[in-house]
Amino acid sequence: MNLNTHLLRQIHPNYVKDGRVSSQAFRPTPKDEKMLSVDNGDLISPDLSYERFTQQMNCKSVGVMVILKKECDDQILPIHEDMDPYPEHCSIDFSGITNKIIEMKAKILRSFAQKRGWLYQEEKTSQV
Amino acid sequence: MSQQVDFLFPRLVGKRFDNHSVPLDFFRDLASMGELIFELAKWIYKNENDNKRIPKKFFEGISIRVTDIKKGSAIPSIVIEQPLPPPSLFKPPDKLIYFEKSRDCFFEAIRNADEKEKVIRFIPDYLLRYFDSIGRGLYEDEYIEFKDPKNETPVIYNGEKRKKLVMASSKTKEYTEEIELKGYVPEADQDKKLFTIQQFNGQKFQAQFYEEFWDEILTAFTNYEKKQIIDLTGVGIRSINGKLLKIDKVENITILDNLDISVQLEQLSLLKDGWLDGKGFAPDPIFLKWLASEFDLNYEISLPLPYLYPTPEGGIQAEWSNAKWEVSLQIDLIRPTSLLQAVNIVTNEVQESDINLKTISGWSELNQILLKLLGSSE
Repeated sequence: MNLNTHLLRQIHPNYVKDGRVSSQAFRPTPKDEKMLSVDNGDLISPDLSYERFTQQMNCKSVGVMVILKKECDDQILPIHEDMDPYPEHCSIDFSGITNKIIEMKAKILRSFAQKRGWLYQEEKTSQV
Repeated sequence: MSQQVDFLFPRLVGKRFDNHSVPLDFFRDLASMGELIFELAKWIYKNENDNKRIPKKFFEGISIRVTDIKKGSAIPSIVIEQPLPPPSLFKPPDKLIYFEKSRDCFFEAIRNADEKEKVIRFIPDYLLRYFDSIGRGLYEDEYIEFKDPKNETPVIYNGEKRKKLVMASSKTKEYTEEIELKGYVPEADQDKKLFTIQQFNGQKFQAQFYEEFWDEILTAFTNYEKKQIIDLTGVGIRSINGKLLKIDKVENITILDNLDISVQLEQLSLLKDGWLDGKGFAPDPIFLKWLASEFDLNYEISLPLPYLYPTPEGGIQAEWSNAKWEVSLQIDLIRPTSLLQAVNIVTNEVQESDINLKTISGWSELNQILLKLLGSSE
């Protein structure tokens, strides 16, 4: 993994409105123990990452957005290459910071990802 | 020469009727009420006269009219106007008595709307269809109150009673109702003047349209992939159990902004528990209704519309962005205040405020902060 490594984030359909992605897509949910799941883009392509997430793990996604490793470094968010539950899995670590700071960092990650646009998108974007 | 006799004073109750005013549409309802009273008077005459034919010109010259809107909530004064009889040695027949009896039957049918068997004692089966167009436009929280000269308890008529009275007829299998549908237009046929509206839950209805709405239908149809939304108002036909069967008449079509707040909240109301891959609580529909109404009343109109997303806890997160600022407002049922957080993505400056959306001053504070950060959308 290097500074420009793509960290692939699956985007839930309910977190997309009129093409804009919510900052909630870039912060862990309360049950995630402050770890945000991403895939290591050096090891897997966005389309395969999407396919595994939606077909093997049976979760919903409208596509893949990207955060760079250096953007996490700038926000002092460590990345763990935990390889669990599969070899390409990583976790962005939001532990040890308050919910308000988590929300702040999620907004900054969102703005980078949204400017970059979709790295992969399902053919027909479904929304709420 | 003619004389006017006070007859009915229906008090219209509801926000729409405040300020001593009655929507023009409502006069159609009053006209139907007048027709029913007239037909009932004829039915009573026949009943009391061994089903004899009504003498020619018996009711001629008699009319039911609105003369005034009295202050109250809004009270149209309805009178019976009848020609003065020419001077004569013989006492003319009292025709007004049939209208008074007709009014009594009208009131008793409404009072007994819950009991079908009683209703048809006061109004014959074939006249119950008139209720279909009396009060069709009443909103859920609106009703008509009639003072009854023979009873201290006023007669209350609302949408629910209307439905029961229409259904009391053995001939009725369905009834009409004013409808408002929001959705997309996946199909349109200019030749047949037909189009389809697809609601957010996927349900589709076909409707006929008039030429005046073609531009809106075409815009929505050609932008179907972009999820262009229309708002359709008109008259729908419902089954006895309230299910919308078809669109009877389209009265208006409006193109809506995809970020229209009521549309976004209506879409979010379709979420079920577990919406976030098995996790995530669905927002409470009452909370969403309250939020839609508060935004409608208090959100500064010149501000950009927010993007609304569900939160896993059953709340709503409103978000706004521009070149400098990323702004969010977390709204839920549990906390008394909503957290507003704005992050300047250029300087990393953070602003936070706890906003009480249950107060007007809270909304005013929200509007001022957003105007300062985002400016006006105009």
